[in-house]
Amino acid sequence: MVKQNKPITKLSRTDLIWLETCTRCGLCTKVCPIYIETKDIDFSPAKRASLLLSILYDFENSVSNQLTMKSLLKASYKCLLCDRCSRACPFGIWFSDIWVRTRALCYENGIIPESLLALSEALSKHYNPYSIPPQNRLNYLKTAGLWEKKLIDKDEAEMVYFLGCTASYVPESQTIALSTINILQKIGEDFTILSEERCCGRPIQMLGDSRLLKEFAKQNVKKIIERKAKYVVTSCPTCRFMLKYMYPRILGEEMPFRVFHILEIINNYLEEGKLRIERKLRELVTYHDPCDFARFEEMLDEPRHILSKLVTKYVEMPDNRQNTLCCGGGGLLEIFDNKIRSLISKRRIKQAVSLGAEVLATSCPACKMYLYYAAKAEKSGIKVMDVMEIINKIIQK
Amino acid sequence: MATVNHDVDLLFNQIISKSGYITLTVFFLGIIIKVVRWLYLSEWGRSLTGFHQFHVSRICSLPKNFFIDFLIFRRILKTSTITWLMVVFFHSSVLLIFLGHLRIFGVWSFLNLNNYLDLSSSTFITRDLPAFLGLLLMFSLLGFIIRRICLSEVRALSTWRDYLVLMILFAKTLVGNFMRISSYIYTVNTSFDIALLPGLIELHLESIPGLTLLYLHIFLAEIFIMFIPFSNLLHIVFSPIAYFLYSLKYSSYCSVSRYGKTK
Repeated sequence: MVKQNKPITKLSRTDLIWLETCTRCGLCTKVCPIYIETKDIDFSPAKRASLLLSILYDFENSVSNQLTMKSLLKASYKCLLCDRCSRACPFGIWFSDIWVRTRALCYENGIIPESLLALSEALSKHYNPYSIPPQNRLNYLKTAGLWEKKLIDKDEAEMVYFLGCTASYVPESQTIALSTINILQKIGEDFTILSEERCCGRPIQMLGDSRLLKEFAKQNVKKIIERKAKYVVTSCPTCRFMLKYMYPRILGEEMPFRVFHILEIINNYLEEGKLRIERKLRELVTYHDPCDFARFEEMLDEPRHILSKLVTKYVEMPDNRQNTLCCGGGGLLEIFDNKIRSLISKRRIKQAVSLGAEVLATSCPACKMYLYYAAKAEKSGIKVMDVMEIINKIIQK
Repeated sequence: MATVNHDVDLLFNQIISKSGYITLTVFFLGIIIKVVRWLYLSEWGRSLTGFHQFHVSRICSLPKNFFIDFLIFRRILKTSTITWLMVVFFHSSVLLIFLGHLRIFGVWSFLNLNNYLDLSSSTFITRDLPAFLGLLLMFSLLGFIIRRICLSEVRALSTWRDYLVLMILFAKTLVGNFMRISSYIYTVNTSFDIALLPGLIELHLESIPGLTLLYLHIFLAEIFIMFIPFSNLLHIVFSPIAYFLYSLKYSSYCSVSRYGKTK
């Protein structure tokens, strides 16, 4: 833990009303993926909320109490921010929101877990959480022969395809970007890719660095506006969430472009007949709802509608739609406690395997990455694919 | 002996008529202290995840969601059916018992209803239904206590205050039920008036099975009210606000856009 010298200052009044309303009924605890895995009550949303409240009410004494600060950090960071608890809470206490704010307050006061310092540095230096130099970001597009097609940094384009960090830097998820590019090209969309795209800012927001977050948002918006784009398309629900809902808030102005997830566009292509699916995948497919889609953006029917046109056999996951279980990749838990993260990812894979599913589909590059690793670790034999990869596979046959 | 009892009753009456003021003072002071602390410890619109864009469709669905999620307790039903049953029984019986209690405060009178109801209906409303509701409340409270003790995660979360709240409520309900059930065993026709807050809140009871039980019931009710600002009972006051704030904020995140319509 990095030394802190100032008291935890202020949360919002909404947060305090939420924290005080908690009756410790335990319903949030019952659904918390971390509690389900660890059975450690200290990770229960209600327990962590009680701790936060006691620190706030006694913050002058807490400043000198390193032990309290350590437990506050643990409380803030041992959370997936998946929001499953808020959905179960009878009073609608928005725990993930409280923790994002608490993390920001901790960061502002110089309290940050050492394990997250590397992430903070990676984001400042390389503009991505994977600590890979940004000049290498689009190398895989060169390898795939897309560089020559002049898709990158067009002077003007109707649409900007915002790749996102995971689909840019993680080999397991790069296929999502390649599939999306291939489909957009087939449709004949006038789109471009930004060579100087930065992280959408969600990891920074989770880390609590509001200054860097603003800088990244400003840069990304500037690059998109320079292309005179009307639409921004993302492969990642989190990027969509940030660009669509957070950027106007961060920058204090409305965006001059509209933001979509690629599935919204694919759904439209299918309805208009621009994209024809003539074959179907024969394997038994199940779908994992990413948390952002399930509990913030409510994009629940679109992926299923698309999958119904792509596959012959489909089965629902045990925890599905708004009750989806996090893949484990949320809230920077991987950096703070990768062991728990891995257990959560494996649980999701086991759920899919128990259904006899051969393909676990999802619509988020980060979910794909974590579930892919878990499937590999479990030697389950299940294929983890993004919906875009499935479409690409079918239309290429 | 009768004189001693009379003196004790008089003393209790005196205490009760003063303790009403203490109860309300503690309750309102507690709430004020809480709110002042909140104002000191927090500020509006602190972070980037605050309220921003509101979408008409979601704003319009607020009353519906408030009804389903908050009043019907849908969220609890989704997580645990047994807990949901306990919560529904508890809250519905509390509501009806509260409405029934308004009669002794003079808010409504059964005499007005007598014009419309026959004897069996009136007996049902004044005697059988309250007795049934009292028992329902007691059993649901017992369920809450058992739940808090038996479910490991709830037990681990609970503090002494959570148990104390349930114990006070249970004791209050038990005493209330004794008074209610005693009306089946023997008939008492003594009417009794008591001023909780003289000139403001006065009780007019038609039949008193036992003054000691009544005083104990009132005393426990006052303890309960005083405890609201200092326990998880605060949700009685703030849960509608908390849920409203959640709904309002949630409405700033909108659902799927139609790409085709933009072209």
